[in-house]
Amino acid sequence: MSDILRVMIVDDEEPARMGLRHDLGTIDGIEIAGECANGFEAVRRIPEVKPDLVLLDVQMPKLDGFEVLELVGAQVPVVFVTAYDEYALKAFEVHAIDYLLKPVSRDRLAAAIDRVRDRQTAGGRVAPPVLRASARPPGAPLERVVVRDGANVHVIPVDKIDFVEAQDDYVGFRTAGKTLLKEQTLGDLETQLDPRRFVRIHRSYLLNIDRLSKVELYAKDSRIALLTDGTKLPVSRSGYQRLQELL
Amino acid sequence: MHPIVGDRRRLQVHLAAWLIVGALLALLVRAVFGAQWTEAFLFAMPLGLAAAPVSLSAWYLCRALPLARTPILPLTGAALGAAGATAALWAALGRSWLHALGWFGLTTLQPTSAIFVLLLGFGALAYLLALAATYLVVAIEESAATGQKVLELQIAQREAELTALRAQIDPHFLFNSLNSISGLATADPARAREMCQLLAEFFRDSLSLGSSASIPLGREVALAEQYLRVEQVRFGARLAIRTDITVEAADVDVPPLLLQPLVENAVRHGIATSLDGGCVEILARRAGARAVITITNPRDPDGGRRGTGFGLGIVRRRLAAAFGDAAALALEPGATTYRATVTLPLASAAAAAPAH
Repeated sequence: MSDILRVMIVDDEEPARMGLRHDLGTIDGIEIAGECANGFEAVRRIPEVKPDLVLLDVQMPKLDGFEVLELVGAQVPVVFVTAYDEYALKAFEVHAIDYLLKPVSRDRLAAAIDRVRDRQTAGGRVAPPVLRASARPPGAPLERVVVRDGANVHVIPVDKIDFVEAQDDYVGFRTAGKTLLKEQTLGDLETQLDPRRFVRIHRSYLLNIDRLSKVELYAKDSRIALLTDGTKLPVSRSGYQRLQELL
Repeated sequence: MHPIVGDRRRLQVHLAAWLIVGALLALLVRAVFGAQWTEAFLFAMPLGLAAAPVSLSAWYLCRALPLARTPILPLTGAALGAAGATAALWAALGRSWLHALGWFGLTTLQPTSAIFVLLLGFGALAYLLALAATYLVVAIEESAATGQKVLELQIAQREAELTALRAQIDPHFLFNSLNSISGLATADPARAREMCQLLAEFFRDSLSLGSSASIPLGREVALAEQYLRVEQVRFGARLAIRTDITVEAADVDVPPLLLQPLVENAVRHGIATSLDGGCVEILARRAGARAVITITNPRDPDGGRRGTGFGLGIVRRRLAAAFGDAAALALEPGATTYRATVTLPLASAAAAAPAH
């Protein structure tokens, strides 16, 4: 364990970064490992820089703090910084080490740094692989899905998704003619999406109901869903029931 | 629609009034011609009832000749003429009725010209009374409508004050500004002070202007610019501001803080959700007898968050309260920009309303 704690600041507002940078400078054993002005930058730089701690703003354009954490996964300990306390509960659900309210007092910041050091001494990285959080206010269905594809980050509004296919440990989002893979289970995703819009028509398929053209009987007890773009997907018996309930 | 025919309660009162008139006529007939109680009432009550529908025509006279805008001579002439003609018809009807009653042996009264003259005089008097009553009702209703209008204006005014208040204590605006000041305080004290001053200026002006019924458009746009300058400290290069208002448009009267919800939306949806931000542009000009104000902000085609429409609702309600149908708010979501256009007449309803 090194004595120096390397901290990265992620916030889209410059005054906020300035304040954190200044306060961190007054705490012993801190090195600023970098500053990012938005979530995309953070997703790109966190794996390169490998900081010991990320001070992560929640409200950022396009890719918010929760989505950043979702994409960088278990690589790094995170302390959330936000102007609103409505996200506090959710921050701990996704195993943030701490949660700071803006404006952040220097003492509160120092206390959060102490917690991070305690965890370090206790040994090992913090975040368990339960980071399946998504950017949404507690209780509301997902509005967009974030997928990491090499160095690129795709932000897909849910209404642009045609369907989702289970592929081993991954789910494949079919959107705009291509498929984007993400490590997640279909069942888990199903609970996050709006159930009035996405139907589990098959063990392996979650369909955006807007894309359905018609359901055809294919054999006894066996049906296929014909999508508006001509794609055909299998429909199980229980999947057909769910479809009928919705329509 | 006729105000009496369309209202059941009023119709009942109207009929009752004419029954009373019928009873009075019966007393008169008994007193003048020495008729029996029964024959006097048998003759007079149906005549009174028959006058009820005829007298409804008084309302059309009221509408054609409004009391306030008709010279006294033509008004008197028209009233007397209408009363005479209606009474003559009614008196003729009364004489025929007496004939019929006599024919059936139900009365000893004779359809003399004395009776005709009595009916003519009584009918004309009754008609004039009905006319006066109708004028009175119309006047009361108009004053009630004016009261309603005044009330609506007061409500709109209250809403304006509320909007001003809300802009000042909008927790997000206030928190965000405080956070910026806190961040700048140690690292860049000069800018922190500048931010405090901008914030104080905006609060001071919106508080003092927010309680007026209307302010010049020039002040309104300046207020919006003050707000944007506060936000500019927070967003830095992501927020550019451009305002352009023509000289003729600057003194057009608008409700204070009318544009505030639109400017807030422009920042919330156009700047805060965008990586690179862009320019919030406010243009105001005159176009004939109207003022046109456009607020344009960048729009991300991938779509940020959808708003609740709360702010737009406030703007629409305030426009309607101040200008009725003469003002409009139009929204144009383009591919890369979003534009809100407010069109309003030069004279507000508040200014046009009678002084009270």
